[in-house]
Amino acid sequence: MKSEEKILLYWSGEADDDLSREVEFLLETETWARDYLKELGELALGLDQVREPVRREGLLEEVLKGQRKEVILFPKRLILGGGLAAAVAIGVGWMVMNSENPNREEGLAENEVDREDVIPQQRKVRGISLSERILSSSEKFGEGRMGISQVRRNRERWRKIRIIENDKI
Amino acid sequence: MEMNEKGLVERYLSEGDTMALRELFGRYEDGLYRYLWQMLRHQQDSEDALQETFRKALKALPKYEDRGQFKSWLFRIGHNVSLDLIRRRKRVVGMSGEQEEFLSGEESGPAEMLEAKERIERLREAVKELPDAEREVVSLRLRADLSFAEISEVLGAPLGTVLARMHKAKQRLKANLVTI
Repeated sequence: MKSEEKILLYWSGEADDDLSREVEFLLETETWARDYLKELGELALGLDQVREPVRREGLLEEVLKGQRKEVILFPKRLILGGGLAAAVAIGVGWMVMNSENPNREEGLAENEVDREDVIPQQRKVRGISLSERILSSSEKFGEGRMGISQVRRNRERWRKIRIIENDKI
Repeated sequence: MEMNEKGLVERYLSEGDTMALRELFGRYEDGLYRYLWQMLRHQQDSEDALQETFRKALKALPKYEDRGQFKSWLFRIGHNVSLDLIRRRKRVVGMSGEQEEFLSGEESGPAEMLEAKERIERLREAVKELPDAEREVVSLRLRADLSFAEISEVLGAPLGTVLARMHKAKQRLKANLVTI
């Protein structure tokens, strides 16, 4: 390492004990070394007086706010994505539930008949919603076997509604 | 008591505590801006570069490995941002005199003020004329207050190279100031 570089480290406060002793000996014995150190001090002092323009306030804050937005946006994206997936799932589920599957319809009707004895106590609310659906003019019956099963199913429902109404009275 | 940088980084990463970030970046905001301004010589560019440095640092923070060199790590990002900006905008370092007139507001007489102003102006011009590699070292050491060891990390150059650049810069400044 050159002597000038040793003086630079000494001036910067980065010299270890050995290097410090070496530089201090140099400074005691060499005029050029003392001049070199003095010039470094003057340079630092001179540059210290050159001021950069005052920067706009809140530069860091703007970056942090942007960061916060990103953090908030991330869960939102997840929520939106999740909501969309849920909507699709519900839609698909609704289509499956309402698809015209004769076996499924019959199965439902049979189950409802089987549970007939517990309907008045446990299914009052469902009974009311069923009655609205049956009384609706938009209710259409299918043809053939499907139509017959629906008539039978609806007849059963009428009977249940009557039970519910009697129970209310 | 001042919390160490590792603790602040961990607090942000584990709890999302932006106060920890404010504390962490706030420590070096002034020095970083001074360095960027010295490199870019343009207020808007320096402000943009400062924000870009913080953004990049935020993004890279989860990958930051604590080795007690957060300052060097941050300044290295700032250094790369400033180089990118210079390349992208093709702006030659230098700008209108209006923006470069920033002298300290020392209380002194008109003659002394004028003399001081001229001296500082000569120094500023001389620094501006330095080769980029030397100006980087001078700015990081004297404006951003980094040690030579830290500058070595920021620039990815051996300590000997950094010291040699500083020495050359000093000699060049001395020669320029004598001839001006």
